[in-house]
Amino acid sequence: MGTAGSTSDTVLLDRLRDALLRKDRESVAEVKHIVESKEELSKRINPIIAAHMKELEENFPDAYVNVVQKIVDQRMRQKQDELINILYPRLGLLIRKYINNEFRLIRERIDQVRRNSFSFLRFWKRKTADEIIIDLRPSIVEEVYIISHESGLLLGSASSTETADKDMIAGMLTAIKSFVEDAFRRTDEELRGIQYGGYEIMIHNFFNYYIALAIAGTISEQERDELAEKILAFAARELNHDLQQPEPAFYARMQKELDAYFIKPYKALPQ
Amino acid sequence: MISKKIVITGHFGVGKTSLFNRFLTNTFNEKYLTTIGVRVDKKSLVIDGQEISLVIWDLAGEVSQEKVPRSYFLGASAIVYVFDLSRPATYSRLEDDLVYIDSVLPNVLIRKVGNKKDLVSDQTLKEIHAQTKPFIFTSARTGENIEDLFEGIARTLISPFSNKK
Repeated sequence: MGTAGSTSDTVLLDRLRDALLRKDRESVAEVKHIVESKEELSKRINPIIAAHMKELEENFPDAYVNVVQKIVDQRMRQKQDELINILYPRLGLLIRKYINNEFRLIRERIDQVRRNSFSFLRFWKRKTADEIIIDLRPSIVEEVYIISHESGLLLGSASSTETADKDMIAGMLTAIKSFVEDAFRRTDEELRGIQYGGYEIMIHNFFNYYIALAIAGTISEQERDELAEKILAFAARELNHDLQQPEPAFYARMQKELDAYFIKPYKALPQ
Repeated sequence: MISKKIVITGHFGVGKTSLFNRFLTNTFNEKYLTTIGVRVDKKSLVIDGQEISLVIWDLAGEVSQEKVPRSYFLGASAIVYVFDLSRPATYSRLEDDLVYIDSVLPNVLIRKVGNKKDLVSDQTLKEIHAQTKPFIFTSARTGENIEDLFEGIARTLISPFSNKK
């Protein structure tokens, strides 16, 4: 009796539960279907994400600009050297390109003016734009050195300015020259010049010595050729003997000759 | 005045630059700063009434002399080969290095110098002397034997009949 009664209670309870939870069960089944179906889930979530993205896109500058700015500033401070290293060569190239272009334009304009002018002087003395520019900022040979190739010992020098110890300059110049020639393993080629800013060291190599001229200012190709010829002429006239063991009088004579030949002509120029 | 090129070479950290500075400016710096490439300076001495200018090249240290650009040695009248008395590794290749230098500059005056004398005991000095047969032991820190070393070289260089070995 008891068993039959309890069975009917269970059936009643199940019916009651079905009646009460039917709607909830349907809802759960629907949610389960949505969650488990990628397509259904996308249909519902995508519009929400899109709305958030749009909101972020519209409001990002106001909300995050300060944070981003702070991070960028901090990174830039940390990587200052790196940035300079990246920018410097590019800026240098741009500046160089700009200056070259401006010089080309000036040359063209000067040549144009020269061609258009009817002055009788143009028939008398013709100067190219290059010569006129060089006239405006002449190059000056400030120092000249004769240096032994191997030892780097100074064989002669003359200077219009006070510089560091000349023996030291000769040694260091030879060390730099040796380093460059050795490092790039170009045994058949030699360093012919060093440039820094508006200063140039022009090097002319001979068999067991070289002549280095320290030149301030802009030097044109024509001037370079003239100086090279001058160096050759000087070497042919003064250095046509064994320089391995020069007599003490040689150094004093060289200083006098180098001064007269290379330095004095520039002293006469208007500075 | 005669000018002569002298090259100071050897393993890194043996005190070449300290030797150079001690001789040129009579200074010593405890801080170790590695030499990059080469440093050139000069000092004039008067030996028996004759003035001589020593143009000294202080080369960057190398484990083997074969790594030093050959051109740095060229034209040198004397080579000062420095080793560190407190680091055997700096004189373990000494003979090979000297053979190489001699092949670059045959018959050049070479001075083997054991530096940092102040860091080792007399017993160690004796042992190293037997092993390396140096020309002189020096201390750039105290200045011991530095003047003697360079004056000796200058004296040999101005005397044409001196024994270079």
